[in-house]
Amino acid sequence: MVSETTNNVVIERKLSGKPNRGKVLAAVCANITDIPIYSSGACAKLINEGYEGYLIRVSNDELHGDGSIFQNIHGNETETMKSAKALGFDETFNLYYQSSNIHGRPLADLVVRLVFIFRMLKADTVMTLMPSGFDDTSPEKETTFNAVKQAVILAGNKNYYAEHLDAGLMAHFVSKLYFAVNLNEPSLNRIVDISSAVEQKIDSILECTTQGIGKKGARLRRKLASEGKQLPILGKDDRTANREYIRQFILDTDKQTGQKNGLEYAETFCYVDREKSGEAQKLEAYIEKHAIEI
Amino acid sequence: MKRQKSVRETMVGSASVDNTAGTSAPLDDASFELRRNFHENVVVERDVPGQPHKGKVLVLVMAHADDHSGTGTAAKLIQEGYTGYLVRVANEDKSLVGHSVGEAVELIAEDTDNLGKAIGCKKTYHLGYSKHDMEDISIQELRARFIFLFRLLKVDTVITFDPWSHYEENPDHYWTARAIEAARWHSGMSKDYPEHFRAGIKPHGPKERYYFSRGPNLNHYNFTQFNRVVDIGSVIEKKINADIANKHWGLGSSRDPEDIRKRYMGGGRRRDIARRFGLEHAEFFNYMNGS
Repeated sequence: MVSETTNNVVIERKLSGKPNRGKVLAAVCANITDIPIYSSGACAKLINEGYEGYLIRVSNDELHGDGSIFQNIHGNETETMKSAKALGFDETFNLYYQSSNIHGRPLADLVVRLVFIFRMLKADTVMTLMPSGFDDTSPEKETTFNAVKQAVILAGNKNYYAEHLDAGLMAHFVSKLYFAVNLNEPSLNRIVDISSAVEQKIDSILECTTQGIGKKGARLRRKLASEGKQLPILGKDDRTANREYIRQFILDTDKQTGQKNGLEYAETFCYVDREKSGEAQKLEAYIEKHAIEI
Repeated sequence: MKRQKSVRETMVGSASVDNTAGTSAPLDDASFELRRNFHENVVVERDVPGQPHKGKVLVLVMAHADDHSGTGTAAKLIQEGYTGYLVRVANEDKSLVGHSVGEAVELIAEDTDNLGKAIGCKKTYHLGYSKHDMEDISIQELRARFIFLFRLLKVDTVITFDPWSHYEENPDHYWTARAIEAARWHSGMSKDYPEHFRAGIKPHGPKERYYFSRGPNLNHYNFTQFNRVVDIGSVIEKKINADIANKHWGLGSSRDPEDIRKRYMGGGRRRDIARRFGLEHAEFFNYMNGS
C-alpha cells in the first residue's frame, strides 16, 4: 500500500499476507555493510511480503576490518552470509572483486556477471545503493552502482550476450529498482516503512563484526566502564550493548525519517518503475483524458 | 682468398645445410621455410577412419570471417565425429568497402553462418565486437564469454590464432587469441565465475589446442614453429566451399567461386610446403594437448 506525501514522495507501507509471492528481489551491494545499514529494512519487508531474496556482494571487503587483508576477506565473507540469513535472503552470491583496485577493473566484466545473475534469477526487483551524497562513498560503491544500472538495462536485451540463451536463460526485464539514497538526495521519491523489520535490520548489522560496526556497543560499554562510567541504554551485557548501540546511533536517521512521516522507522529510496516509462505514463494519462466511446 | 671465402660462408651460413658431400650450400626458399617454421619433430596428422571422435566437441574461433586457417582441420575433425561450433568475434563493421556499415555487418553475418554450415558446424556464435577496435575492449569480458562457452558446450578442442605468434599485426587476432588462451586455462577451475554452476553449468577446460598463425610465408617473418601438419586433402572441397560461402568478403581479390577454387587447387607456397610432407593440401599448427 502506498500513499503520497505533500512533496510527491510516496510512502510504501507494510503489506499484509504475502502478496509478492513468486517475485524475485536481487539486492546488490559493494561492501558487506551497504545493505544492512541503508536498505536491509526494505529488503526484509519485501521478503516478508513474499519475495524470494538474493544478495549479491561485489567486493571482497579486503580493506574493511582491523585484520590483515586475508583476515578481512575471510571474516567479511562469513559475516555476509550470516547477515543475509538474518534478513531472510535465500542465497548469497559473492563476486570477490578486490576492494583496492575495483575502480581499475573493466566495468564490462562486472556487468556481464550481473546480467547473467539477473537473467538466471529472473529478478523482478533490483535494489542497490546510490552513492552520491553519502559520507562513506567509495570507488567500490560507484563502480557497483554504475554496473547495476547498465546490467539492469542489458539483461532485457536478447542480443546482449545471446549465448546465455543457449544455457536456458532468457533475456529478462527488471521492472522495479530501489536505489537507497541519502535524505538530501534530490531524486528521493520513496520512503519505505521498515517499522516491522527493525529488529531484523539490527540483527543483520550485528553480524558485521570484522569491520567493527557490529561490536561498537560492547566496545563503548567497556571503554566507559574503564572510565568509571556507563550508559543505561547499553545494558549489562555485550549483546544488549551492541544491539542498542545500533538502534540509538546507526538507526537514528531511519527513526527521524520515519517519525517525520508518521511512521516508527523508515528508509529512503529513489524508486524506478521501469514498466511505467515516461512515454507509457503520458500515453496512459492522455488516453484517460481523451478516449471516447466508439 | 681464405678470408673472402670465410665471409661468404658466414653470409649464407645461417641458411645453409650440410649435404651428403659435406659441403655447405644455401637452402632453397621452401627448404629454408621448412627449417625455420617447422619443429624438427613435426607430426603429420592424417585422416582417421570411422568416427573415433564421436562425443567430442570442438570450437573454431575466427576473429574475422576471412580467418580461414583452421577451416579444413575443423571440417576433418567434424568428419571424424566431433560436434563443431564456430565463433566469430568481430562484427566486420570496417569490412566491405562500398557498402554501409549496416549492410556490411548483416551480409557478412549471413555469409559466416553459411561458412559454418559448409564445414559441418552445428551452430555459429557471433560475438559482435567492433572490428580493429578489440584492443579497446576488456580482455576480461572477452575471456568471460569464452569461459562461459567452453563450459556450456563442454569444449574438448579449440582451433584458433596462436596467442604468441610473432609479428601478428592485427590486434583483433592477438587479443582474441590471448582471451581464449586465458579462458581455456580458467574455464576448468571452480572459483572463476562460480555463478555459472548455479545455472547447472560445470567447470570444463578444453585440453587440445590447434593454434594457427600467419604463414608459413616468407613475406611475413613469422617465427612460429609449427609442430603439426594436418592433412586436409579429404575435406578440401569443404574448405573451398567455406571460402565460397563468404560471398561478400573473404580471402584473395576475387569472390568468384572459380577463382577461389583455382587459388586452392593451383600451386603456391602452401601447396609446396604441403607436398614436402607428402600431402596435397595441409594446414599448419602449433599444437598442444593437456593442461
